[in-house]
Amino acid sequence: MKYVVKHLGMLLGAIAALYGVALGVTLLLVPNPRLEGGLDTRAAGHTLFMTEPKYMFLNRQRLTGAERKMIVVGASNAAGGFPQKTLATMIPDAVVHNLSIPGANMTEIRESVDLIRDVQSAKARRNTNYVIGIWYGVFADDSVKWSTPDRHAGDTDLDIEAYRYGFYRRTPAGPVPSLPTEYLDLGVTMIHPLLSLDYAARQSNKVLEALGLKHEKKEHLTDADRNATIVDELQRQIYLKFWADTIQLPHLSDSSFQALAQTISEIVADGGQVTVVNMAIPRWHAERSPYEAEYEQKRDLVMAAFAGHPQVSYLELRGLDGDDDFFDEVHPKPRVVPEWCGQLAATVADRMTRDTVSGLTAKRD
Amino acid sequence: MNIVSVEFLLFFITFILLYNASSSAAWKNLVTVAANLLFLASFANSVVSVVPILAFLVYCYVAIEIVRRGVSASIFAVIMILTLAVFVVLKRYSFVPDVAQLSFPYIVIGLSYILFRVLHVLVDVRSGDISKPIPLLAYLNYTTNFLTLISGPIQRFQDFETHTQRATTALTDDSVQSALGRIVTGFLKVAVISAIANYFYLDQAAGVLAEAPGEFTTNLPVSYAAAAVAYTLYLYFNFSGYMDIVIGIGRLVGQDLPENFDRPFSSRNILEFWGRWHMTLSNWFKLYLFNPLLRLLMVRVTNPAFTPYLGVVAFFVTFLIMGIWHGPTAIFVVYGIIMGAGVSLNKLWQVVMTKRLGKKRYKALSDNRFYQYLCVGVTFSFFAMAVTCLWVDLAQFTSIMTRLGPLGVGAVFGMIALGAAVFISALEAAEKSLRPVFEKASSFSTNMLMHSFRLAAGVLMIVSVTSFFHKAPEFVYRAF
Repeated sequence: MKYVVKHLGMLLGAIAALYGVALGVTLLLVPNPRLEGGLDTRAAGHTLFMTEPKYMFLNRQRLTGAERKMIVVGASNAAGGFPQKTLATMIPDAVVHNLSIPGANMTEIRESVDLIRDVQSAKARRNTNYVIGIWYGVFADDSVKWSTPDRHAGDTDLDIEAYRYGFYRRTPAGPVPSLPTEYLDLGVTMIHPLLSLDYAARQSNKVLEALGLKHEKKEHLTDADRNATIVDELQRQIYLKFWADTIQLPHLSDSSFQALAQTISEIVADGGQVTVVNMAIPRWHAERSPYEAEYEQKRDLVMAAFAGHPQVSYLELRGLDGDDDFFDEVHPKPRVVPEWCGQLAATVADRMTRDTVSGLTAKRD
Repeated sequence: MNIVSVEFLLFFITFILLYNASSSAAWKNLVTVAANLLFLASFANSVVSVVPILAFLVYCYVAIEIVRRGVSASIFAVIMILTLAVFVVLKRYSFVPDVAQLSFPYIVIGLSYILFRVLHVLVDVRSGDISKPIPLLAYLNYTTNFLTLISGPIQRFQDFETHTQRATTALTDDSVQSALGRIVTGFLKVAVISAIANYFYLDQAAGVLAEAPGEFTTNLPVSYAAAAVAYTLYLYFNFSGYMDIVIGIGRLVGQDLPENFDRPFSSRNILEFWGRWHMTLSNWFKLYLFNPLLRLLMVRVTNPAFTPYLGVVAFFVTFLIMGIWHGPTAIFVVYGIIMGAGVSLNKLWQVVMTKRLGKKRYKALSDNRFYQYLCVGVTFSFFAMAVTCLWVDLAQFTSIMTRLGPLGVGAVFGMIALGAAVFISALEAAEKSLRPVFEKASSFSTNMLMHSFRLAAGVLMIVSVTSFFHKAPEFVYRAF
């Protein structure tokens, strides 16, 4: 027994010593990023966190403050349609964050909101205005959406990040925190060597790509390229097939619409505000997708339940559906993005004015 | 319980500490039984789901006791057939009609290995090799030993008993150090090397399986060859790593488990390969199927001209059954046929070549370096292509083979064989020339502190690489 304890003790000591050295060295060589202003998942690739889900999951401590904030959640069209920097200049009265995750469905969007609420105080929750970008693509069923050989069936990208460093543990009911949320930042510091290693590995990939030794997975387009793109018929057919393959099932997921309703209800119950944005997609896409009619019907049913609710607003962007305003089947061209942001800013500003007036009235009363 | 998990880590450390907390044999037995049952229960979703496997264990114990008290040959045959029939039903083989199957979900983890152990005990009890009654606790610890439950190594009861009786052997600095080293090496193989191989396999296989049936693309032979090689490496490092872990843990709890791998990819033919891969399973089949079958054939076929060919038949049947044992669907029959054909052709080649060239010239050919490495490559290639059956279903297998066509299959075989021959020969040459350096390094790390730091570096590498992947690799052989 004494030999077992002695050698296990020595092994643990050696692990602690080596990890301590690695922590010190990596903190020195790759200091923790100093993030200014709002969070923006589109910047993830330029930070130590590298991917949007990891950036979102590990940076939540930044959202605990009681200042008035606006947080955009959704999929890639919410990330590209409402760039954090553009919105921030239009909404100066709040700190604007865009935590949209490319490829997210409603389950993952709901998880994003829950993960944010987990780290927030009651006051911080009250001062948060969520913007939820929806369209039929985010209502894909979990059984299809989160089923790839490299993941546990049903794990979203956010679940993977939750389990990756042991911050959450897997249970039959889903992820459960194993690290209290108030220690999130400490946890992020403790995994700094692992983040640095991941960062170094991804950077070396980029170097290999730059040297032409590795095939680049992503095509790098400039804003000018995107503005000049014309989506031809062949491309449209490919996009329609892609979404048919992505959704696979004959109907959109009812549980996803329930998740939307529950998310709105929970935010409202916290005293927070929600703006649901019906994201525009090109007219050709809406007209030819077999899911669009079902989406509109089920979305309207959900929104009808919140009609006239003082904390819930609805922004319809479907008027901005010109075929030439998109560089693919869902993403707006950069030249129309200011118009999208302008409409969102106007809706939110209107809400904030009403809130401020009602707050002042309440104080006077 | 996944072996690459914090739960398993805490489980086996707790087991080792509790086991070594007292030198009392009763205590050690009790801790072992508790650990075995806890490990088995970790796979269950409900109490009902463990009932069939527990009932099978009870049935087998009763059967062993009946045989021990003396039964006629026909009763013994009935017991053996009944045992196999219960196993086949519980395993839900596809040919078992629905009405004969249990309608609720239950665990079958380790069932195949329980069967191997029970069949061996039944045969040895009948032959008198095991003469004493087997105590229930010893039977349970032997059949459900959590270290060997999922995939062996398959130990004979007599060896298990001998080693258990030596359980009080005192641990030393060296034995603990070496056992911990074996465990860390095992985790490195499973969580790092096999995880990387699995990543490449999944990537390549997705492309191969995504292509439409009947469609041949120029990428297909290369993608299929890459997927087959990556899967083979994944299978080997995952399985042999698992063995390293259980053998290492076994050494800390007085269990001297047998080795299951001996550099299989250095084998020069598929017969030799099976003597180096999953060795305890091969030995089991040799003892309890091949040898009795060969004896039976020799009794029936008396013409001496056919004697050399009886081995060819016995090998085919043995490997066909071994293949079918791997799983309950049709693809495993194909796997058995391929393996059976491979080993019997191998045996036939040896017989024919010895006849044609004579023993001396055939030996000279076998000793030729170039021929040896060519054989190593061909053996690897055959195995890599045969185990395709373990990652596809019958429709997918047919689709891949049809799309490749005979020419494509030949090209893939040649490509893998040539690559393996070059790579393995280079690896062996490098290993030979670097051996003095390794020896010097290992003498340096006999220092306890240095050894601890070497292991710690291994552990940190495991943690780092594991964090790269979305999913820790599961023990692949548990599926079979």
